[in-house]
Amino acid sequence: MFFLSPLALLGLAVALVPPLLHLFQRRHPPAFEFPALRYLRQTEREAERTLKLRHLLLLRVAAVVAIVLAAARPVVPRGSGGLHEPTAVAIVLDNSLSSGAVSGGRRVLDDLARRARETLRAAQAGDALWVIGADGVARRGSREQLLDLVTRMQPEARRLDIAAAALEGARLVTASGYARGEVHVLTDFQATAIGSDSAAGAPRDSSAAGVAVLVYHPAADPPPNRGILAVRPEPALWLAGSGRLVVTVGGGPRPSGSAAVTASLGGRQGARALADSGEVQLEVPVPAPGWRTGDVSLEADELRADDHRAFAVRVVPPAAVAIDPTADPGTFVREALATLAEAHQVTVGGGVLVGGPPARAGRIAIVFPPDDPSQVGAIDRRLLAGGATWRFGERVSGEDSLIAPLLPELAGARVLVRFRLVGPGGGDSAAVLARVNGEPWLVRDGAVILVGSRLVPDQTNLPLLGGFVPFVSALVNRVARGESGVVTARPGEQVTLPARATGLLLAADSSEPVVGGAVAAPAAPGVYAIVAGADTVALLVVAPDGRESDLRRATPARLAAVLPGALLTVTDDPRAYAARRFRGSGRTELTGWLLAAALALLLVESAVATGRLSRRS
Amino acid sequence: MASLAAGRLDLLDPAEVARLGGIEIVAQGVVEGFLSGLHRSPFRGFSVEFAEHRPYQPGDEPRYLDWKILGRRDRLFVKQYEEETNLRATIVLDVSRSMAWRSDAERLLTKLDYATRLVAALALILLRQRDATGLIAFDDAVRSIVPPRARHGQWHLVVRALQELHAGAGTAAEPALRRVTDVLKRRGMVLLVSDLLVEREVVLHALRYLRHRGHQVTVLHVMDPGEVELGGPAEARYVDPESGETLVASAAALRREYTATVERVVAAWRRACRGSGIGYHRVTTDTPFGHALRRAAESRSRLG
Repeated sequence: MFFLSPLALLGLAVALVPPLLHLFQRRHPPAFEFPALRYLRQTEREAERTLKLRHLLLLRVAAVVAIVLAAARPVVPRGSGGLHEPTAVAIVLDNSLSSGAVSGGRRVLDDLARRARETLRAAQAGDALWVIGADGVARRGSREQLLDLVTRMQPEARRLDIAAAALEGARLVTASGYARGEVHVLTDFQATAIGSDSAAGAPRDSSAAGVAVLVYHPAADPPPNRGILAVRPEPALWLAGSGRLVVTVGGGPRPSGSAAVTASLGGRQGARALADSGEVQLEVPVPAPGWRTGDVSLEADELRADDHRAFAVRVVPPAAVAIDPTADPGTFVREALATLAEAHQVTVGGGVLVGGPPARAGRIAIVFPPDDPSQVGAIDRRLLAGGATWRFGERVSGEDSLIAPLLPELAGARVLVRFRLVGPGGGDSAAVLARVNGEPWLVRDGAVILVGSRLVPDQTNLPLLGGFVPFVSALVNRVARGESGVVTARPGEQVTLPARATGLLLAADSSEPVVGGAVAAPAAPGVYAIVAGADTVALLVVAPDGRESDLRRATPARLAAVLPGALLTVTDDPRAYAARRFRGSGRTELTGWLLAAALALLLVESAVATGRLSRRS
Repeated sequence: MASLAAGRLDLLDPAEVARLGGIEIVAQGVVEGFLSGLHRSPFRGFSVEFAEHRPYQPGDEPRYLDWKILGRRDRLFVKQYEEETNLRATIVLDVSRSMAWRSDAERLLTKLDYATRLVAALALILLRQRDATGLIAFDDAVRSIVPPRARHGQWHLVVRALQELHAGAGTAAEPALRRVTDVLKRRGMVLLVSDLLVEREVVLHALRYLRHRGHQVTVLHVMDPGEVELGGPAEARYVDPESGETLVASAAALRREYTATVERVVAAWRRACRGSGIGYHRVTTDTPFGHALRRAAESRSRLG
């Protein structure tokens, strides 16, 4: 209990003097010999009502005490609501994608928002209030402003790291200067919402040490959920013919049975397959060359937001290939190109030069080591003249496997002889597409592709494998053309766009200018065009974090582990949450009750005194 | 002292009078003053014979005026009578411990001191008119007995007995009074001098028995002024000297109610005594001895 006007308590000293004197005298009355004690005893019996005058005096003193206490405005603990000491409160309202799930016939976010509104309504003018949503932005405002904000909040396709949000809230309330600070985390308490991959192994953040962190999550068990975690066009660049979508299905708690996965591309219904969890491949008819967008959907369940996911793919025409007359790539390559030409996978033209370095900078070329090792120096000089930063090094013999994750066509290939590829930074670069014994074997250096071995049986068994012709096709159609031009990002994530991009097309009539080649991905999932002037140079696919599909709950210990020192309370009981908020210091002012008690005491005293007087008269 | 000696001791403050000397001196002084004011026997019975005339003095009752002399000589004379028969008077004195109390040591006598002097004076008056007078003192038992006699020296026996008395223990009045009834074989006058801090019904039962046996019974209820009006500290632990019982009470809160209670008790005694043909008088220890003697005499004459 505390008093809002404690100075008024000084009045208690005056009010307490009579009873204290009375008690003192009662305890130590002087002895007095008196033979007529029987008269006195009889008097006291008969004057019992009169003796109540003493009690009436106590009633009056009690009334005075009640009035003095009322003036001091005492505040006492209460189960919920009521008054409390000024408190800094950061409310983390988890409106991440998973909060849109329907649990127990009710949307999770509705329950969480209700708890947030209750807390805000219980706040007082002296409190400092923040609301932190899934976007991670801490919004400070008055109670009314934040009530309006909470009412308008809807599930977003974002993932909320509740540990990071709680730490942010703890930092806010700690820096606020308030003696009392609390962080309320209103969340569905997903296990996957605690911590991030990047945080693994990082030093533990102790910002929440000593701060009361009150976590509320709905009591109902999370519903079974299956969502589309990822869609990956394969290959990244599609040629005319057919393409393949690799769809990753997952989530939790795991539902029984399988669900139908359907893909559509360019507005046309495509392939369909059944999926339980894991990856499923959908063969999709490839439309005409250009930027193409599509959607993969799953049968609806309690969380609709992860039941479909957009994707984009670039469909390209066959590459126009020319063989360098000054640097023969070898019989096997020539035959492969001829085969591809017959299959309309390549055409004859000047698009991609195969053999040696290009005569001018900027032309796409696939460069093989020379048949005569003495020519390596000359080729290196031509590469350098063309602006390349990579070059061929010494000849290395020794059989070893090719490692190329992005080029499945190289599976099983082994290298017998190779020329070291020497580049900036010792070759540890994203430009390396395949390695042998840890060293670069296939490198893209701008428009130039360097291959570490001649594709002949003396140097590699690749020409003898079934993947040889597909590899040559990938080499001229995909690797030589560079990246697919499709960028994938999560909502709100910072995305680095191509250097020539000038804006991100959000809608037909608006675009967000690109500043410094980076932009924050839009919050709404979908496909956005990255433009340079009037041209589309890339597509941005915004898709939610697949971890949001796993609705299984975390354990308090898991959260406590990432919030060291926090005064953590986790509850699924709204009443318990209400009782504990404001550090369990829901209080109520007793002024009204005390005044009522004083009035009642005075009325009783008056009634008894009046009754006594009237009886006497 | 000179003023005391010059005045009538029966009308002075008892405490002041008591300082003149012992019981004997005080009683004689009081009786002299008392009788000089009356000029007749205060304890006349119903059967008396005319003795003589004497000039009227203020204070004499008009009914004793001799109207014939007044008519013939235009002078005021009152008639004095002489008792025809002797009276057997027994004074029963309560000497219980409660009688030794006084509320003001400087201004008041204890109830026992007051009572002994009053009893001595009464005995002297009675003996002077040749009434056989005796004394019984009791607390929880009979402590002293002076059988009623009218012989010379009887008063000194009574006074000596009174001088030897001291406050006893509690007042177990019933056995003592039963003993008194046994002692008083012949009818006569019984005068009980007590503070009556006893069970009323027990005392009344004994007194009624005496009355039934033909005695003229009078009760002199001796009270300290501090027993009539509650004094003492604002709040005190009151201790009964006889029983040792205690009671914490506030004099300030109870004073008015206490006085009313005492008045009710006194009224109850008076009502009960009169209902049984017993004389009852209350005297406080600040009452001049003459007034107390007069009340005793009035009772004697009224009942006689």
